[in-house]
Parts: sequence; structure tokens; C-alpha cells
Amino acid sequence: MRNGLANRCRIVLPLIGAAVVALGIAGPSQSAEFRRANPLPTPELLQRGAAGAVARIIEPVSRARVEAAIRRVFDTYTNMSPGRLEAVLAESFFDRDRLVDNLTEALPRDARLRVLGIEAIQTLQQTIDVAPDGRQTRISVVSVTVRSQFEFNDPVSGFTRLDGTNEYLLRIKEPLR
Amino acid sequence: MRGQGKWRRLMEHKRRGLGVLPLAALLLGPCQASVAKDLVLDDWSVSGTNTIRLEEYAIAGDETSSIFPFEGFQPYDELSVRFARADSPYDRWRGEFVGLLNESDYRSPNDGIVLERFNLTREKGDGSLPHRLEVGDYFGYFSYRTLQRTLKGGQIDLQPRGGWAGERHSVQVLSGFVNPSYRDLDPLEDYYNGASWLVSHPDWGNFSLNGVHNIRKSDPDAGRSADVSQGVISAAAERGFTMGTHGVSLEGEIAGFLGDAQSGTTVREDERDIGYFAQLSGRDQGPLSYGARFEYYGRDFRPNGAVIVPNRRTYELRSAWRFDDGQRLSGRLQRFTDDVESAVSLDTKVAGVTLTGPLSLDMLPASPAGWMPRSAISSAATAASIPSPEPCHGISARRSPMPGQGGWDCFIGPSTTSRGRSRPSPARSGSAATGPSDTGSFRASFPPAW
Repeated sequence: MRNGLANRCRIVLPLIGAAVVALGIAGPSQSAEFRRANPLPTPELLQRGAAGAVARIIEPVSRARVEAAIRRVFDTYTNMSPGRLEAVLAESFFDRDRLVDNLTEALPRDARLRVLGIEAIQTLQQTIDVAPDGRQTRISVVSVTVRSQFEFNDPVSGFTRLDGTNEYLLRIKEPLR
Repeated sequence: MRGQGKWRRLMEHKRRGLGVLPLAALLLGPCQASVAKDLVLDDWSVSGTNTIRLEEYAIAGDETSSIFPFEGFQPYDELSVRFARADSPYDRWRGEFVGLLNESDYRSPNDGIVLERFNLTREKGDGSLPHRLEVGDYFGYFSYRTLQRTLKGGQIDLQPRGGWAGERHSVQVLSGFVNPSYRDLDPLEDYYNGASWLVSHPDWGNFSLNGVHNIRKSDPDAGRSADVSQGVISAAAERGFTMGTHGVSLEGEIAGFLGDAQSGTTVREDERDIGYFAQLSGRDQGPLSYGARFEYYGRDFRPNGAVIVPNRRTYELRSAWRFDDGQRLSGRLQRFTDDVESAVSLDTKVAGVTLTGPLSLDMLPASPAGWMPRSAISSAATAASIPSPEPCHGISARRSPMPGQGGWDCFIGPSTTSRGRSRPSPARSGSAATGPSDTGSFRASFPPAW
């Protein structure tokens, strides 16, 4: 019994880490599953007035904001709420529906996913999205390495924890004005 | 005693290598102190933050039942520095590094001075061949079926001027490996070389050719019994067009795999396989959106840098309607066939309907206690910290994936989300960082009707 639960948790933990890698695709099309151009600032582009189209110098997302985002994601896992989990996962997240289904199916109902430590954080990509009404949103792809653990009560062996370290890619949207 | 030893080692590290760190903040500040500074050095703009975090973990009672695996004093000091320089609007440098002085088992598995991340980027758009060069940590991304990894190494993005018909080109070449820090570097544990050619045209869409080669040496501890050498090439395309009031996008990719395929602890040598996907997605000018998707990945289509699941076929139809009050009703029909190229495959059919969005608690039925979301109960006691609960309802039904063991599993779950609720910081001294549980649910099973 214990092995069964532990194995299921062991399977899901890397699944989350691997699958969340799919979170971070920032581009003109949120459903895009291959890379898009990240234009360099060339004289031709800037003379055409396309300054908004060229890559910007990245302004890293603060550690506090990334930590808050990670805790929100983990909160959602812990609460095992499919609706809330779907709201957190990006539309381009690979196997989004299966992850949500499997989390509710495969894990013990009292399982909890806890952040033990947040390691390195790096802002990898950044774009500015301009809405028709002029509102700007900064969209950042952030890599963050998280040490976490599953906790659940096994009917035979009692309290059990399984820890692991995974890299997550987050797409963080910040309104600029 | 253990905590004092860590403190002594931390101070020794500071005296040796990082004496410039703000000792006063360490001694006088709170458990977490962060200092930010901006400088301008000649043409360089330099900014950074220094964060010191001091944590003490004490466990009373049965240690095997503790949620925290490490006890004692857990301090660390993180220094993050960013720098940038623009010689012209077309000629820019930028970079950053994140270093750590660590004695915390929670922050990093390495003690002492640890360089975790480093990146230096040069962008030159006014030369004969505009390019972006990155060294250090960078995002290696071609496509879901070839490569999506953060790597340590180098990458160059060449963007030649002009085009035959107004298209733009981007050629990326990269070489790098996976490692969490710059300690104990061993590139051959997971090493990638790759190239990608992207063509973007405002009317025709985007086209991409990608190739990635991966090497991993044998590692019995990681469950890899032999060296792995594998390659994947792919062609991808995407085009958007308009049909009446509908904006539609078509996207697809086909990829071929050649080399050693690792499945669990087994490495099968010199395998070939194929993977492909096609997707249509669209929306009208109103609240309707829809999509259809097909995927197929062979048993040995196992590129290590990809994010797909091998040996699987997927059919999917989905649609959604967004109401004026912010609620969203979505439906999906899915059929997954796992182990599709194995002797025994596993069919999973899913039909799901979900209604999400903001609701007033007043709209919930006058519910018996068993139906009341627990957070709604607890919000009475913590009303100040839960200002605006937003319930949502989810309903999904799925058929049992086991052949011959039909049965439906229905989930109906009211839950609440809260805006503006602050989450407690990581618990110290054994106090758990638990918030109110937010879900109430009802589950039932009934015979299959597929």
C-alpha cells in the first residue's frame, strides 16, 4: 500500500516539474508550440517606427514576485482544485488536462505539496504586450528551481514525505501602466 | 551547536571572499533583509540586490513525523548583480550573475560560495550580420518536440537583413548542457548541440527547421545503464487566417528521431521513430473559441530535450464560451491512447464540462453543511484576510482508463479562491504554513455510457 502511494507521488512529482516546463512560452500566439522571432534592434526596424517590436533589455522579475507566484502554484496543487489549477496553467502547457485529471485521480486526497526551498531564479525572456486601449503588460519567462516535497498520511506507515528538486518555467504578466 | 558551527563557517566565508557584503544588515536586520543598489560606472549601468535570510528549524517530538527534513540554523546570503551598457540603440551588452554564500540545506545542496546563474548577452543590430550572442545560462528553445531547456553554454541568433519577399530570417545555433549550478560541472551528463532556422512572413506565417543532438553518459545512479547519443530533426509551420468573423490559426510539426532511446533504465540503441502534431484553433469576434488537435508519438520517439509523452496518440476537440459577467463555460472531448505501439495499449476517453469564473457567494444554494466550502466557513473567522471569496464550480466526467473495467467518475466541486490573501512565509521552528483548506467536493461513480 505504502509503495503504491509513494510510487504514484514519485511519478507525479517529476511530471509536474517536467510539464511545467511548458508554461513559459511567451510569444505573439499563446498556443504556439515552436519558437518565434525575437527581433534585434536594427536601424531599418527603428526607422520604420517599430521600436516596440524589437527585443528589450530584460528587467528581471523580482525574487519576491517569483516566490509569490511559485507559492500560488503550489497552493493550487495542494488544494487539488481542478478549476483553480486550470487557471494557473498556461494555455500552451503541454498535457494540461491530463495533469489536472491525474492530480485529482492519482494522489491521496490528503496529499500536500510543500515548497521547501526556492533556489536560483533567472528571467530568460521578456516581451511587452500592448492592448488596443494602450495598456502595456510585461510578459516575462522566468526559470526557477524549487525544492519541494509531497506529504501524505499512509494507512500503514503513517506520515510520509517525498522530496525532489525541479525546474519550473513561469510566465509572469505585470501591468506597466 | 550545529547552528553555531554553521554561523562560524558562514562568517569565515564572508571574511575570505565576500567582505563587501553588508555585515550590519546581517547583524541588525530582520530574518530576511534585502538591499538593492543602482550604480553607473562609466557607460555601464549596474544594479543589484543582496538578500540575507536567517532561519532556525527546531523539531519537538517524533522527528520522523516532521514536515521539515533539516534542523538547526539555516542561513544564506544571496547576491544578484545585473549590468548593461548601450553603445548605441543597436549595440547593447547586458548580463547578470547570481551568487550565493550558503549554509542552508533548504536553499542549495552546496555549501559555501556557489555561482548559480550567469549570463552575458551581446546584441548588435547595425553590423553586416545582425546577431545576438549569449553565454552562460540561457533558454534553449526550438519547439516542444525538439528542445525546451535552460542550458549552460553559448547560443548565437543570426538575423540576416532583407528577404526575397519581405520575410525575416533567424538562425540560432547553440551548444550547452544542463547543470543546476557552476559547481561540479560535467557537461556530458546532459549535453546538447542544436540549430534552428526560422522564417517569418507577415502574410504567410512562420516556418521552422530544427535539429538537436543530445549526449548523456551512462549513470547507474540516475537509472541510465549505457551512454546515450540521439538526434531529432523537425519541420514546423504556423499560419493564421480569417474566415468571415473568425480568426483561425493552423499549426503543425513533424519530427524524426534517430539514436539511442532511453525508457526507464533501459537504453535501446540505434532506434528510429517519428512524432507529429497538428492543431487548429480559432475564435470569433465574440465570446466563442474552439480548437481541434491531433498528436502521435512513436514508442521510440524520445528526444531528451522535448516535453512530449512518447508512445501516445491524442485526439481532442474543445470549445469555450465566455459570458459577459466573466464566467467561462468550456467543454472538451479527448481520447488518449497510451502505449499506442505496444502489445497492450491503454485508451482513456474524457468528456468534460467546466464552468469557471467569479460568483457571488449569495448565488450558492442555501447549502447543507456538507456542501459549504470550508473556506467560506473559515472566512467568518478571518474575514479581514479573505476579502473577496470567488467560488467556482467544476464538473468533469471521465471513463475509467482500464479496458474492461468501465465506469465513470464524476467530480462536482464547489471551491473558493481568494484575492489579496497573503500567504504566510515559509514556516520556521516547526510551525506549518497552512492556510484554510479551500475545497469542498462531491464524487460519485456510475456505469459507463460511452
